[in-house]
Amino acid sequence: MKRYLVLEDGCVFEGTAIGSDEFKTGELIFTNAMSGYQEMLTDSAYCGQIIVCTFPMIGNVGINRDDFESMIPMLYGLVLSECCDEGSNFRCDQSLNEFMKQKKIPGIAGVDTRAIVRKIRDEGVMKAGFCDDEKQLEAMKAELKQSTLEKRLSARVTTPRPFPIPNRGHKLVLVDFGCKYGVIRELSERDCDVLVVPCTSSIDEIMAFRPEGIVLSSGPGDPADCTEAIEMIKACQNTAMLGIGLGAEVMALAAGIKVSKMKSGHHGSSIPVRNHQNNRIEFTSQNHGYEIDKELPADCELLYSALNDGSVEGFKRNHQMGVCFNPEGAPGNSECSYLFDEFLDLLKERGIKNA
Amino acid sequence: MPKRTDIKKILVIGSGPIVIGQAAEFDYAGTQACTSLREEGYEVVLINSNPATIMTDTVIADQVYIEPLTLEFASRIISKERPDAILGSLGGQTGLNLVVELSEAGVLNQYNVEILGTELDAIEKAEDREKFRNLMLEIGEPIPDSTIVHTVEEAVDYANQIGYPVVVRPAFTLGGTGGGFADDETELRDIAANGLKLSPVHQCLIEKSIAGYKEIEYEVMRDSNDNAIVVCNMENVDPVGIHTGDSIVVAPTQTLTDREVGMLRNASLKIIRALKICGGCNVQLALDPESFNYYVIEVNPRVSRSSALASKATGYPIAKIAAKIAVGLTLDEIINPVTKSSYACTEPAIDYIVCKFPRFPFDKFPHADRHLGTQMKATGEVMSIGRNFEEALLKAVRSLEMKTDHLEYKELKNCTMNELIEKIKVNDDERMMAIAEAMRKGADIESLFALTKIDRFFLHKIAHILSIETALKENVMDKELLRNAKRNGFADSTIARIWNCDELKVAAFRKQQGLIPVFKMVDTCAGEFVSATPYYYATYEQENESFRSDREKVVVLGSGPIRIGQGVEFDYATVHCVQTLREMGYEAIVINNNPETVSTDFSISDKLYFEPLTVEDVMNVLDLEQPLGVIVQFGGQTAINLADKLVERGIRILGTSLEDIDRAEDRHEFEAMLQQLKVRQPRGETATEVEAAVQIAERIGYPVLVRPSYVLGGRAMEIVHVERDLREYMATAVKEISHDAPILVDKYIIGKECEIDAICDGETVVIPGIMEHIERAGIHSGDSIAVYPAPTLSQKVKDQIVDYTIRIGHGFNFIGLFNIQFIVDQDETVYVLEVNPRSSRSVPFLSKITNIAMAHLATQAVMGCKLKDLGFTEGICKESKRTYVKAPVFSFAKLRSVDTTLGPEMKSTGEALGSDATLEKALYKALIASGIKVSLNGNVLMTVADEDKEEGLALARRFNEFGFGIFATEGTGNYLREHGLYVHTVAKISDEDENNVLNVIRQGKVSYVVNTMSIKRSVAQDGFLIRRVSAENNIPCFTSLDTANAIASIIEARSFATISMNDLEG
Repeated sequence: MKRYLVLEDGCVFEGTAIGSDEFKTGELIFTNAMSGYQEMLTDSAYCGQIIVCTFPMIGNVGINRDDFESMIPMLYGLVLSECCDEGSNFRCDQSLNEFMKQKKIPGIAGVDTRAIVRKIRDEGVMKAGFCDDEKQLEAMKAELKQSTLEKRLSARVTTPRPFPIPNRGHKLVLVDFGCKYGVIRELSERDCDVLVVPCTSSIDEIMAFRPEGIVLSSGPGDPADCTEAIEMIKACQNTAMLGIGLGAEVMALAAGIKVSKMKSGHHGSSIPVRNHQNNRIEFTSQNHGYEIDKELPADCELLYSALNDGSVEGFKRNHQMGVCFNPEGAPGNSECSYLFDEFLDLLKERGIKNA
Repeated sequence: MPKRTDIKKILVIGSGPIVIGQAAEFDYAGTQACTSLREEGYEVVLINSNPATIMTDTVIADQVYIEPLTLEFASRIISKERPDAILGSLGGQTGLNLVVELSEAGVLNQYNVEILGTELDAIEKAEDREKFRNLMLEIGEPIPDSTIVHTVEEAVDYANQIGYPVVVRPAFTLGGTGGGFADDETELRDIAANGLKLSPVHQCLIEKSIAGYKEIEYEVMRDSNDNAIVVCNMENVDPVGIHTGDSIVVAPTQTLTDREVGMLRNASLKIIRALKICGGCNVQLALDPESFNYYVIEVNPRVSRSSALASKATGYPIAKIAAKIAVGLTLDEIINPVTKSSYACTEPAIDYIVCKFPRFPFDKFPHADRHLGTQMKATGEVMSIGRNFEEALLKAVRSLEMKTDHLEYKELKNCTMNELIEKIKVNDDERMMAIAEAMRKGADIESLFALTKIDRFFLHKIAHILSIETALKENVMDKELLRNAKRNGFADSTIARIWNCDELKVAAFRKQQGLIPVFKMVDTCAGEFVSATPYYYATYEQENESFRSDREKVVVLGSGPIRIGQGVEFDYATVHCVQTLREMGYEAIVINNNPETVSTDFSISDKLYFEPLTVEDVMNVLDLEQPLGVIVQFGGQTAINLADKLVERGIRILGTSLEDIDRAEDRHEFEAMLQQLKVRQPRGETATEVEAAVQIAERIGYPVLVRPSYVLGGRAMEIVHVERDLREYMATAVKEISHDAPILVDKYIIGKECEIDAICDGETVVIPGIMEHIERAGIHSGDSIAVYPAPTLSQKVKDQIVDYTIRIGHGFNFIGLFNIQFIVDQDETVYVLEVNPRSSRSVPFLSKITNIAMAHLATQAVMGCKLKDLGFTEGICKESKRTYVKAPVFSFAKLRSVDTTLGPEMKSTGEALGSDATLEKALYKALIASGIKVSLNGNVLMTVADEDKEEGLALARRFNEFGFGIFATEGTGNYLREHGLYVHTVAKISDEDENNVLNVIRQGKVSYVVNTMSIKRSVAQDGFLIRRVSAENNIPCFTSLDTANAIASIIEARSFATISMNDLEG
């Protein structure tokens, strides 16, 4: 069946329908990860977005029951050059297309994804939507121009109520802006006793658990929308904190640092960043469309910056650190998972001090 | 870290002559490395014995030494040049080995030379089996369990411990004889018992079998600051068990989930960090298709064939960056030369599929053992780029030039299912084609998977290609299907065959539907950054990224995959042509498909199109670029063969015109032309059927030389002495005789062979020099030792050759390069054997030794410059005083069951150059550079044909004079003894004697073997074994008495003769 991808600027790409036929207008972004589509598809930070995969053959290994990053995929669509029908891997349970249908993710295959990527690269991310009826295309273009993207996306994907991940180690609160399972895996591996709370939780709700530290997860949308969390962080200046992705951006806003939208964002599984502690280059998994201003206030220390465009990828303010990349990897490199250890070391130190 | 300032002069080691397993990829790596080091301001001294390389051009390094890559010569150069540092990790295994040797001999210490790049310790850790094993254990990376056993019981115990299946490898048996896979105890008892018996030390290695695992490769780099990156990962379509050089390889991996990719990435980076390599490294891993279990198979601590492939597949220039790392720069301070807007410390992201397909020499060696295994057999490879696997695979198939444009071989059409299954089971080189054919006959994916362990993903893709084929068959001229077929890589010619119409008709219909390919850029970043690379591939998509500039442009066609007869020499000429065009101000555009070579380095040309060399793929580029014309004369027969179809489509061939090319290649026109020019040639005629051939042979008299017209490297050429053999040749050697491709039957003249390469601009013929061959006519020029200046030709003969060359150059209206092979008989009559209207194998050799850049001049001539204006006059250039020798290099040890006897069919894979003040010294250098052990004492084994006995006696006497013992088989021995020589007679092969002829060779009792083949073919079998056993034991075996005499001359020049006073006469 034919399907069209319509862009805000009026461009139309014709291709074949894959996945669901329920459409929503989303923000068109691209990722150049060559593997890990299952992890990307289920990363809630993609909520509201339509992903263009630069890699042209997607679906090769199907979908398995292990590699999910959330229960319900929240992305608004997938744009592929080719969607492979026959997944081949020992863990494969179903095909990508079946999964997309099941989880109501619409998509399009058979389009010139590289052309779209080059467009986004040069013109920036833009709104886009799908359309199955050629006659509706003009109406669709007009609608796209007028529509505005949804706000407060993290509030939509966050857990509705707190839930525990009981372990015996450090007590942490994980503020869920759209948390990936990867972060929970990393914390559980380190025996952390975690309470996951909604991103709209107040300081009192969080402190009631008496956490040793707070982890702010990654998530979708504009950090400025997370007004409750910004207030919460401002009031928690004494608590150790690790912010990831959106979580780091929210932390930056709370610290009075400007955060602005990037032209095409950083989405990929192997993006080089400079670790300013040892001056080495590390490869990171990233999925963020906002950047933290390069002019950091005096009380902030630059931890990481992107090698190629120099953007801030991590900062530290007292005992709070934020990184824009995903140290848990999934998809892509988890070279920086040591950050979780560093965070726990910090908690330990503070625990000794406080005792 | 900034680059080192404490070193100024660096010695770079090349990889030497081309052999199977070590080919043009090191010319690419070496050239990049030298250029890269000079960019950084270092003085570069290079040593490499291979003249057919861009690397050994004097402009590439400050000092270029074309000398043997041996301790002896490298030490001399170090002593003379006093370099501060040495870089060997870019010269393949040869380079690494030489650095190790120099270090162990104390030379590096003595002259205070530092090793750059990878340290010796790392090399040892990667290459020494035990040290490697220990390192892997230390860092916790898994390797297949193995142990050495001495009894069957030990073997069984160990197997029970590690689990079946296991591999049994008997120690010290050649090529793994007696080993095998055991699935259970019964099998193991059998194989182990046999293996222990066969092993001379009664030892077997029992190793956990990982056959059937996925074979995955990682190309990784690291700098001195411990930054490490993955440049590319690759998946072998063929599972573990087939050498990666012989496997079809795709990049990036296709059947791995992100977790598997991450796991293997971490393992690879851990290994390169543990080895502390500064530069590139290749890690081969085996991954269980049914679990996360994996093993590290092998680590190559240097650039390799795979790194060349990874460089071309991603655009990331590994060797260039490795050289910069070697002098201290770190990845995060080197700008990525592809994007120019990002850093080299970036893991390339690619947005296409790359497919590498090996090119095997079995079209030339039909009797060779064609089973693929752990010994690499491919001579070259092609690479293709597509937006899906199907497209990449089919583009690769038609790049191979194996007479097919699709997953089908005519020869397999008539095979039964059982025959196909057999081919598939034994890992025959045609297996991919056999799989497709079996599927056409109804084999299902599961049974093929069970048979091959090729991942179902790839089998599904082949099935998909076949389903498109079927759909096309049922719907002729269907627009949507055509679109689908083109997106999946089908060639117009394939579709035309399916639709039973002409290729041009399909092309016209396709264009009418607006189905023309676009060109996408290879940019290392999947479009994320704006990129400046002029490196493109074609695909059927929407947006085109390659734009026609308004400069005057010329398209140069490359020579495709390296094969016997068409090697790196043609790439050399192509690169020179491109460089000259750029100097002259033209936009130079290259089309080629060989990932190993310099010509496909995107920085060489103004634009590179990585595409198959078929008329359709070339026309796609030409339609877009609208060049002044196309140059075909540097791309070997590959490019020449495209000329007529391009002309048919209105393209202008620059240089020698199509009519004149045809005149040189069409037998009748060629003969008529030579007669008109009054140039002598051996009598000969063409035949299109057996009886005619027999009649011709009777008319001109035996022996005759028979061959198909339009041949490459003397393929299927034979000297025939009697009618019966002629009939046999016609029946077997020639599959397709037709009016388009007749058989040539020529009088075989016994005499000296020599050749020239010359340039003509239409007015002036310039001949840089005449090369004389050591071996008499009958041995392919590519397999002969060539000497310049010609040592035994009289002035009269030389004048005749020059005169003929000039006449031919003008008579054929050559514009550019041409090559002529001559034969000179005992009466000093000169005959022309063959004229090639193109660049030849000897062009790099002759260019280097005469200091006349022939391809450069030829390109200028092609573009309308006059040689006179460039300071040249008609005729031959002044001869050099120094002697230069080009010796062929063979890869016989790697190709089992190939007869090593030399004849009209070319067999060598590479060449080495030796030069010195005298012929003997130059010969010595050339031969040791070619890998021949030149022993000055010992024994020589002689077994010569009856007709050679007299000459053989003279040779034996020479060897005997400087103290060699003579071993001989019975017939030869008796003859030599009758003539007064003391001879050890060795037993026949059929005698299971300790001292039978094969054992004498195996035990290294002889330093040389001289074996000439009898005209009577039936007794050839023993000789064949003698030659094979020599090859496999690395004992020089000469099948031509001329080569043996040359060796004798060298020994003579280097040793003292002892002659009894009693024998002195007068």
